[in-house]
Amino acid sequence: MGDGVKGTVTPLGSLFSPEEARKAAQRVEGAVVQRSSELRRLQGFVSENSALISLVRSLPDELSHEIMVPFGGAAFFPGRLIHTNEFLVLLGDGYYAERTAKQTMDILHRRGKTMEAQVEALKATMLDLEAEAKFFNSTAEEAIEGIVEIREEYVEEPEKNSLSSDTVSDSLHSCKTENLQKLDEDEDEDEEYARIMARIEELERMEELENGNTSEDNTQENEDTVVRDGDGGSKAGDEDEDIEAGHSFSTLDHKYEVIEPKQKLKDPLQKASDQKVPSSFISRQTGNISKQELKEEAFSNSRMQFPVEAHSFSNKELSVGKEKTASSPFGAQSSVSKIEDSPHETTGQTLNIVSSGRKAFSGSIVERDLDPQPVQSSKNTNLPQSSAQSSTKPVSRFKMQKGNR
Amino acid sequence: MLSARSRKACTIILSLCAIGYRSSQVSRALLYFIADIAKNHQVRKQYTIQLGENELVLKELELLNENSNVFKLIGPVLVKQDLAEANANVRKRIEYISAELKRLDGTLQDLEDKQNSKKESVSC
Repeated sequence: MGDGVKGTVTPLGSLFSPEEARKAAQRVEGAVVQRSSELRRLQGFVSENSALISLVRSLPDELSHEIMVPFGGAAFFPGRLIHTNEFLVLLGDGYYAERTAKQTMDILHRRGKTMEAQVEALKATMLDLEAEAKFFNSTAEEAIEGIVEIREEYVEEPEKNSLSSDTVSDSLHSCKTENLQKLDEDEDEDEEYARIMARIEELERMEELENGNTSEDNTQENEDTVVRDGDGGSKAGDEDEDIEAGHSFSTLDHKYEVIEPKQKLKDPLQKASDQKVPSSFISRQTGNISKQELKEEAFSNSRMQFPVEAHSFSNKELSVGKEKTASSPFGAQSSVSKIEDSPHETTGQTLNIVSSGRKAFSGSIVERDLDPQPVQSSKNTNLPQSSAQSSTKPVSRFKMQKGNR
Repeated sequence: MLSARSRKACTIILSLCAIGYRSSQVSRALLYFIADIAKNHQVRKQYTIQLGENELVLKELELLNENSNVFKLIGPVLVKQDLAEANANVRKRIEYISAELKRLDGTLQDLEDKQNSKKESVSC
């Protein structure tokens, strides 16, 4: 809060005087009472109706019933009820229809349903009214207590973190927001990270719009599949678009949007200014991976084929700059893991793989000239990647590991 | 002898007086407006109930067989009616009631506008 922020302080009592609030509450309560009496009446009808249904059901059991027939206002005489299957049913508004017992029961049944619907509607209105009354009462109490309403001008703070977090939270998944929130905690590291992430998000979105859904088979897309991670945290600055290792794993396990992230990552990859991803490298990587047939089923097979890679990816999951949620159970969804160190099989280069955990591994691996970090990070290790490292949310290691094992 | 409606209007006016509307600010015209609007509401409620009932009847009539007997209670007499005739009658009645409701809605709107303008002129 800035010091010079202007504001107004208004006691709540002046806005809504307590007496008025109480009067309003009383009015509403009166309406509630009215409705409840109406409700009781309707419920009486409903019970009468069901009693009638059971009577009508039992009458045709006998050819004739011995009864006491009402005669005049105060007399009865013994008589017999005959034609026990014929009923003159009041349809409404003075109209009667001759019907059998079964048909009469149907009519009564339908009538009962209509009445029950009315009862439900009435109950709903009563609930609303009661809520209103409660609100009025609480307002009155607050006004009496002297609660004040404070309004201040909103000064937008030029804090990158808040900005980035806002952008990030705009991303789709709640996990993202979750992760983002965690990210926000480390403000120092967040700034750059947030910036990068925001940019990546934009790029992804643009690409998504351009490309639309693509098949998973597309290796190119695979690159993009860098797990954008629903968290949105995945976009690590420029080069971090690497991805996917997490995708394939996660896709197998969870069917999350695989296609989307593919596209997104493409752009950031291509547009990554900071790093020029050696195309050869990537193609090499992708080549390796594309063999796998990123389809979900295929992936399971490929998993076997690239046990090391998969393993390495999973192991390399690193939360970007943050040590959080590396082992989030939602990793499959939105965790972005940065994988440092190229998979041992492929190259000795460090790989930053941002895996959304959801996408099939598209094979895009961005080579980074960062200090290689130990690849064999344990499942739960989230190596904080600071600065240049793309901040990625760790793909759920559990997922990966499950896949690996 | 007061009709039910005018009785209701009077009760409304009386109750309003009791609340303290006796002040010179609220003219009699305003009071009458309030009473009229309340009357309008009442009549509208009646009509709405009748409309609902008639629609139910129509639904049941449609479910009847061709050779079923339909009777109409006219006073103390149950008169046998033709199914087609009964259908037509009920439909006509529904139309009539809907038209009445619309008319009442218009009147209500009118009354409310007049009341608001009167209020403004009085309060100014």
